[in-house]
Amino acid sequence: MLSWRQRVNNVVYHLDYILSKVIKPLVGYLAFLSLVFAGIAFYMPAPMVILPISMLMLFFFPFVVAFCIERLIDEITSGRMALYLVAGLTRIQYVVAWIIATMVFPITGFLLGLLIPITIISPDMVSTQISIPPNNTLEMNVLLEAIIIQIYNNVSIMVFIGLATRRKGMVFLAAVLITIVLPIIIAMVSSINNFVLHALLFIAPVYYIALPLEFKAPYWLANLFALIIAIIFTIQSIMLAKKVLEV
Amino acid sequence: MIVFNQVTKIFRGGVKALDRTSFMIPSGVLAGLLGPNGSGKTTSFKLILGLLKPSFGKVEVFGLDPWVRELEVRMRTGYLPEKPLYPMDVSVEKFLSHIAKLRRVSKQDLYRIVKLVGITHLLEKDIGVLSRGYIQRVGIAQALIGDPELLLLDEPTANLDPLARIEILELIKTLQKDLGLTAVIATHILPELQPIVDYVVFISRGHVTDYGYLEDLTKKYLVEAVYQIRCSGTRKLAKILIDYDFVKAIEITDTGLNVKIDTRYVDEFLKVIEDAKRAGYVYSISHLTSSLGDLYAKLASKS
Repeated sequence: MLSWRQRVNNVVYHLDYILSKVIKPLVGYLAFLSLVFAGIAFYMPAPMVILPISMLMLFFFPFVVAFCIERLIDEITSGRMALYLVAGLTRIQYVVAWIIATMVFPITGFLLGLLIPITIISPDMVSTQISIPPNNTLEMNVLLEAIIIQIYNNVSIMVFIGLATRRKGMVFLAAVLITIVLPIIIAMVSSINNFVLHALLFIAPVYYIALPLEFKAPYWLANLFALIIAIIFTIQSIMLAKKVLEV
Repeated sequence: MIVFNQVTKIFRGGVKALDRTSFMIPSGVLAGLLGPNGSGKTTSFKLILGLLKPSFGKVEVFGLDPWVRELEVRMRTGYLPEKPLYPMDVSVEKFLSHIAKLRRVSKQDLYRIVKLVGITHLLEKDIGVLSRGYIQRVGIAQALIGDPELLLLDEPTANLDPLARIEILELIKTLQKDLGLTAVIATHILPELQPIVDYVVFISRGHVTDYGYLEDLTKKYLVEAVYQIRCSGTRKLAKILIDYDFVKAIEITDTGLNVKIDTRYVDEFLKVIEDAKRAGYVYSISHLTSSLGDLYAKLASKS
């Protein structure tokens, strides 16, 4: 039996391997985003820089996640996964490595989205938007935690859908639903009842900033909703990997 | 070493790949898992590796259930898949190093295997630019990492040119002998396996028709067999044997004779050799090979 340390090492080894394999197409994606961010940072009024960049990033990242999960589905359906399992990875380690790898790219893109404007606009203006007490703004507070949780949440849902269906189309459909369809539907329904907007928090805690003040649940609760959903889907993916994932 | 007990595997959609299949493969043999395409060979391998879960029945490898104790079984097993599934945009060294890391194998051991398989000069090349023969060698190298006790080779010569086929089979035979491991080769090309296997499992449409040592099956189904005789008086012995109707062919080799006989008369043949042994010019006799094609035909007509 492997020790915990060896199990974690296995995940790290495979994570490193996945990242090195899918890095080429994604470097192109990140380079493209960097240009977009730089353009926005240059032309937007300074106090408005971080938020639009982050929102743009949030629009793109489910498609990056879908791209990564498509590679995972390719490995499973082609049988390549068997090579790594035979080499000593368990199904769980394999799936966990992919979940983490899938999160790395959107998080890197998001951090890049913060770093590029910081290098372009004046430090004074950045300080009004970055969360450093006592001058922290609610905007950045929300974004920093909520975006990471949102990425984890969406990745876990899409990995689960990918593993359960093994169909790339379904993963892409999930990306479209999460990014475009669900927010629009919920926004439409919220015109009847504002409280419905809270439903968005289960998949996108970043929308907390869009909630009307009179209805706002506590911020930590908004993140907790999404985190719980993410953990449930992660556990489901692991159970799926352990019990039924055949190559 | 490998035991299948009434194993059935039904895939999603109701396709039955194996149906109440039972067989065993002992340790130390070079075994052939023989049958036509779609007979259940690859499914059997995946069940051995714990990559598939049997729908019914029990699989045991090293006395363990591979679906439950997956890691313990896989760390002692090497696997060469039928299709070259290796990541084509990754260098040979990077791919093999990753497998070595997962198997907790040092760089020195990895390079020892790379040298053994003869791909040292290709380490820096991407797998995608290699010829099929060399890709197959990369596959054999990754299967040998970690010095496995059991080697599973799924159609190792598929899509190779004739020269590469001979090279790969020679390599497998040498490795099995040198490393003392148990190897199982799944294939539908019977003639090329004939000179190297000593144990066979015949499988057809998900059923195992028979299994056992080649020599035993030869006697059981009365097919022609080739015996290797080490002797000093090759011409004298050849002269004696040629008079018997059950002797189908005689070949003179460096150490003696290879004699092909009709195994219905194996006892009579062995008696002649025993007499020659007593006369002092025959040292030993061993079963070299049998016609797998004939065996397969007899089993097919039986089933």
